[in-house]
Amino acid sequence: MMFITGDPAALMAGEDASRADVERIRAQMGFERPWHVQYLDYVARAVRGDFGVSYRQRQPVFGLIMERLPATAQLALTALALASLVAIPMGVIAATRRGSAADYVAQLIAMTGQAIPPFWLALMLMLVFAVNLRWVPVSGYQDWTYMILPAISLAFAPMALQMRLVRSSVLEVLRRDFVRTARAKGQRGDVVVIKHALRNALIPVVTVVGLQLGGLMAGTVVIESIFAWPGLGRLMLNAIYAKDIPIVMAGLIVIAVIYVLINFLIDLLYTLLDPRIRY
Amino acid sequence: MRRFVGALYRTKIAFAAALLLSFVAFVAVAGPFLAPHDPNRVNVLARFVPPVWAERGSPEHLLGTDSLGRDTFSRLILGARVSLLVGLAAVAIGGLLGTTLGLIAGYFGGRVDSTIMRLVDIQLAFPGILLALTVLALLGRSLGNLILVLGIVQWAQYARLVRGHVLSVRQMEYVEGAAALGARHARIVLRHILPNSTAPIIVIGSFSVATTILAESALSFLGLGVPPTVPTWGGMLSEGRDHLVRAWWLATFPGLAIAATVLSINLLGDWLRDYLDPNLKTVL
Repeated sequence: MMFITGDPAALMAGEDASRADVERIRAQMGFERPWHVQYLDYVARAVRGDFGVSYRQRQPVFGLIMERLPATAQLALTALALASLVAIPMGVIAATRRGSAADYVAQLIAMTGQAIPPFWLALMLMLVFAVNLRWVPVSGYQDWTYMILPAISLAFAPMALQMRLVRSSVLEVLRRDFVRTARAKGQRGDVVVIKHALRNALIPVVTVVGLQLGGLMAGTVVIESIFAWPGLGRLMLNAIYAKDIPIVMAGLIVIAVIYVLINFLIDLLYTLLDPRIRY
Repeated sequence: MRRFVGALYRTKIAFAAALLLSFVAFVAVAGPFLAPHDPNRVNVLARFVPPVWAERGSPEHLLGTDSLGRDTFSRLILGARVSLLVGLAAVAIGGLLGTTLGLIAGYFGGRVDSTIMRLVDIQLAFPGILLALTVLALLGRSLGNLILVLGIVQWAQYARLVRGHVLSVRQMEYVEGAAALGARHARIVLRHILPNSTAPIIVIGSFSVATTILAESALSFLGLGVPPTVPTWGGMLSEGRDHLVRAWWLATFPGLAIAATVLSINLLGDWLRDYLDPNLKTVL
């Protein structure tokens, strides 16, 4: 990836740099070394958290990324919490009252939610609630009101998927013997659903929610650029446009590491939800 | 075929989705003959004309015009091409690559299997859209690059699915029978194993067409899709975003087109899953 963008030294030096300037930067950054030496050097530094220096901003890349990560995490976690808060109750209602009006509404939302492009939803919400009604600010990053539109735009698609999953998972669990036993004991209907059915139904949901968090870290790219949100996504997008390769590479690696960490945490979470699972 | 269409007709919602999708496909193919205007013709005298039903709207431009006076309706029609083409071609590439590697991994097992599956894990840890974005920014924007990149980033899901399926099919008696009769590896894989794994591939492929269309529109929205002279729904949305306050229709209609197309594909995919193999419901 570092070698298909043209001459990085020329890129760093800028447009009206002399040939000597370019050569000086080339020697400074070590671009004249053979590619495999550069690569091994990169890997050796990267595992110690040193991802090199940004071509454009001339600052250590790792610092730039860590500076932006909280804003993205804040947005992604809020969106995910929002999605789950809506999706789990609605999914349970849809499953327990199968075929009712509520079920149809939930299924309709679930289907459309997966089809609507998030950035289109973002524009439409912006048009209606920020431009026309003026209820919320258009874009920026100040108090919590700035978070409302980006979080909703980002939450809609994962919410739809979770809702489908909760519904089918609860439906499946409700057919099992232990649910019948609980009902036969004379327990109240909602206790059966919440204590017996939901807890068992949530395991596949937890898996997907975790995967969604990883996906959301990437999904914020477009939303952050629409709402001028100062997160990792916008940093990476600008770096991509500017061919600032160290930032792009480090950003991809950081996101992949987060993704792996989340998967690990989910595996641990299973044991809490279901004591039968042991590692 | 007749049974297939009959079953489709009985499921009203899937049938409606199929009709809408056929319509989009027809528009994509016959686009240039259907569009009332040249989608790239600039007309500065007719900038920001609203849709025909709005005040100041003109029957000349059914869905209005953009900042350069280009006809939104015609651009919408031509935009269907890129979306469908990229969706189908990228899934074909990713599906072919992933299926091949999945077959190899599942059939031969051992070190080949573990190597391929580690590659799958690595690929799945990197978000496809960001990877596509990066590669496109470096290689330059063109239709070919777009299809190739969106195809390659999705190989892992097919590989994983096919490998799992092959592992279960491999043990079947008819596979052992074929091997006992002296069939070569290629014949066993292509004639006996692959045909028994097609249902899940088709189902996951159909859903992937939908997600690929969404990804294409996101990339075009970010200005990293096809060159700007080609009208795309995502590209139109991106232009509409700059004139959100002045011309709401520019961002509204392309989004509706994307949503309707993707929704139809998903509905059809759901139906296809139930039709081909009801047992898949718990897996996919």
